[in-house]
Amino acid sequence: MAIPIPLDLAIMGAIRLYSAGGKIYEQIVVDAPAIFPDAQLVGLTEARLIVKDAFAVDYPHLVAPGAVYAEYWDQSENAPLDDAAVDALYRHLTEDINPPSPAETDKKQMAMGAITVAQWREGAGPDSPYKLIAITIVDIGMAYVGANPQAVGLSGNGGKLIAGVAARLSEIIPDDMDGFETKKIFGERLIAIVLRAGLDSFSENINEIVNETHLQEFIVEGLKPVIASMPDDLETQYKWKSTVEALSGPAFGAALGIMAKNPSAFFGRKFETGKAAGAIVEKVLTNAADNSLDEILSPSGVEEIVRSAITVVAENPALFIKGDGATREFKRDVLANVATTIKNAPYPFKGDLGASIAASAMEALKDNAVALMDVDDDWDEVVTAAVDMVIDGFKAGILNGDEKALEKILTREQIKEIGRVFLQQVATNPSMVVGKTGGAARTKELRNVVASVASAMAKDKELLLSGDDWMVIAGVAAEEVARNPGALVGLDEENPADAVLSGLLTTVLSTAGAGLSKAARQPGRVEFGATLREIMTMSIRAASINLESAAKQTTRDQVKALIEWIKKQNADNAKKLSSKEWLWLYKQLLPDVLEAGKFTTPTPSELENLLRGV
Amino acid sequence: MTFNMHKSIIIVISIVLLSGCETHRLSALNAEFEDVYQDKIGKRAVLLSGLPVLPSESVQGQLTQIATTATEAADDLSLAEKARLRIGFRRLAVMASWQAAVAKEDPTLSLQSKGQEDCNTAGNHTRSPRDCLMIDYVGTLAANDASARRMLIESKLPDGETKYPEDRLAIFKDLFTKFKGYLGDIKTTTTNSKDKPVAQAFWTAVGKQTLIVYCNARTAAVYYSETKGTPTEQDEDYWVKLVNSMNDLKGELTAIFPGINYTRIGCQSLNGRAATSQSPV
Repeated sequence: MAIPIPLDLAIMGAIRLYSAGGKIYEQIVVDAPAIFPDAQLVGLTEARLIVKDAFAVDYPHLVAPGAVYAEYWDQSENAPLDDAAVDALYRHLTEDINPPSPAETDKKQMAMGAITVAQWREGAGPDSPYKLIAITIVDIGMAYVGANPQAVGLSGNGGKLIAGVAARLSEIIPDDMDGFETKKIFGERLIAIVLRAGLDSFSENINEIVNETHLQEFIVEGLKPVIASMPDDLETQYKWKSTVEALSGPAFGAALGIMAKNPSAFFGRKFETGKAAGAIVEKVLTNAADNSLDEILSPSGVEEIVRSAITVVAENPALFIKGDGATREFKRDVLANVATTIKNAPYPFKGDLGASIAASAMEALKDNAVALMDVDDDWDEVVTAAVDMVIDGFKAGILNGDEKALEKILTREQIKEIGRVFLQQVATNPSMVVGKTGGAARTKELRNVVASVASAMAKDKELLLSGDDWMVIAGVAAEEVARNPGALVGLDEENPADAVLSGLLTTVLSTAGAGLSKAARQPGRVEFGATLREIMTMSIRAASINLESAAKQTTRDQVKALIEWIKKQNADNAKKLSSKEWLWLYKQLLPDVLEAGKFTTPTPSELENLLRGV
Repeated sequence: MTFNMHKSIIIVISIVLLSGCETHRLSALNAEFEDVYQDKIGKRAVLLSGLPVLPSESVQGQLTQIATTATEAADDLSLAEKARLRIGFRRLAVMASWQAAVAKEDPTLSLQSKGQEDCNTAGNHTRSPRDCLMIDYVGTLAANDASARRMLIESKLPDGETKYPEDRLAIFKDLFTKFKGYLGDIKTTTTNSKDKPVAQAFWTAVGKQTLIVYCNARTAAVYYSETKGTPTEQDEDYWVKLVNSMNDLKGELTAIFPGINYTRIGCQSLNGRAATSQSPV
């Protein structure tokens, strides 16, 4: 049995439900058909009594002297003569005599069990176009309360959500809208989906208190335009409906989950954040339906995007709400624009992966980026640009030749993570995306660093580096690019092969890994995995201190010579030297090579001295 | 989505009790009553030896509990603010109490009074016509049931006898008079209520109950005629006079509920659900 709840809270919850939309439900229940039980009948079963009564009361003219059945009747007793007379009269009664029949419907009703009676004569009594929806709302609410007794009946957030929907029902689905009857039915379904998703979200965050008004505004803003935009013709409706129904739960659930986790950050502000959030979700759904986004994004992909967007609304509502008072405008296009980007993205980014990149982009750009934006800049556009750059970078670096190339190296989760790693740098150095390079052109550093790292990945045919290794390398690359604008990679869009970073990574990778094959183990050959990763990251860090030199091919040739020398030392002294020594030597010698632009082979005694410091 | 009460009635009632949603409680209790009523109907024993037919003890207990719960729920509601809901509970309470047919201290008539008080105060014959009218009729029907059960007991012939003992004359005559009186009450209530905006099926149901009471009167008259010492035709109480008065009544009832078959065949068809049953239905 559920946990007892205080009576006052239960009553409050019930009253809230009543005042909001429960009146409709009350009307439905009170007026619902009810059975009219039957009174007790004492029937006659003895044929003699049946016949006696029938002919004495109903058909005396048939047994009167001279009448057709008089021969069977005892006139003085007013009863059948004997048993044979009873049999004859009973047969005549049931077979020959046709008494007037009641109306067919009455006859049927009387013959069956108790009659069911509605409250009102047809045409009389109140009616509501929302009664079915009201039942649905209460049904869901009751199921929620039953499953979540700790939600304190209906006075918790779940109750507010239910009551909020019920209270604004006629606003969410106005009865004067075109196609009301059809949209009402769809609206009922959508409300059910949204309520369930929202209640699930709230049941995980029952201790936070959300603001009722903001919640209602979110619901109305989110649902009403979606329902109103349902197409008229069946063919279009068919796809539209399945998309919206598939994505509404995840979209609203994600949004409400964020709102429930951050009520103080979300509600109670001067800005109508509830409405803004609703506008975003609505745009997701209508855009999804118009562009068949459900064919590209799974519900969890939509969830991820909505979650990120709503988080941004919570933390920086000014990004979504422009103006004030009557001129307030909700910037709701960010997700629509992002959706378009995802839809047009190459494999594997056309889908949930693209959504993850977009989510990371939103999170990365919600704070510091804002301060750097021009007045004319739209945050939507900045986010979309960031997503574009990451995807384009991968395309330029690795996907152009083989769209499956990236997945040969990284799992989807790792791709997602690498995207996030790049974008994390953007969060700290948003000028990588926001910045302009002379005129209005936006810097392409983000694209270029992704392209450089990706092109290096493409060269790792023997998979000497794991996905996790590449993530570390990507992080270091992004960090150094962020610190050194226009150095390791160009500010304008460039061919990856032309970037200093790309050249460096390729040189190091191809030199260090030369001769090594996938999964092969050779004595003295340590240039793979964590060791190779360290070599790569060391190279990036060292190069960023000597950018001018690192940019030169001649210097990179010297780095190549250095690597080959260390490889040989390790290979020739496999029993004495390990990866530890390899890295130590590289760390000690690389800066000088970059500084001088030349590698001078150490003497044996210099080598010995160097190794003493390991 | 269909709000299917029958599936999870216990869970729903528990939820309702937690949430305090009285509307939901009415819906749940109503559904429970209908379930129990069907159970009672379905389990009515075929009478073989003239034993009175009452609901089983467990069914009686359930119906009594429903009546109690509904009454308490009604009492907790404000008539000023929740008249329709309160009267809905009252209707349910009297129906359940009537069908429970408690032998001792039957509260049905008291509950009817409570319901009628609420209906008259709130003007609810026009706001909840069915509920208020059902409350109005229940007293008469409950009384019919009590008389019917008594008639069933008295209609058991002593072993070896073909006629009822003379002391049953007064009993059967009293029963006949009572049934006739119930019919007169139904006629009065119906005449006063015909203009109410209640669903047509209500009048079909009342017509059916009227026929049941009428048939009981006919049966009482037949048993009267089967009793030793039935007066001869010189006597005012002769069976023929009963017959004549039944025909008069037929005419009056036909005027109120046309299309109903006030004949013995009509009574037999009413009992036709279990044509060979000797039990009251």
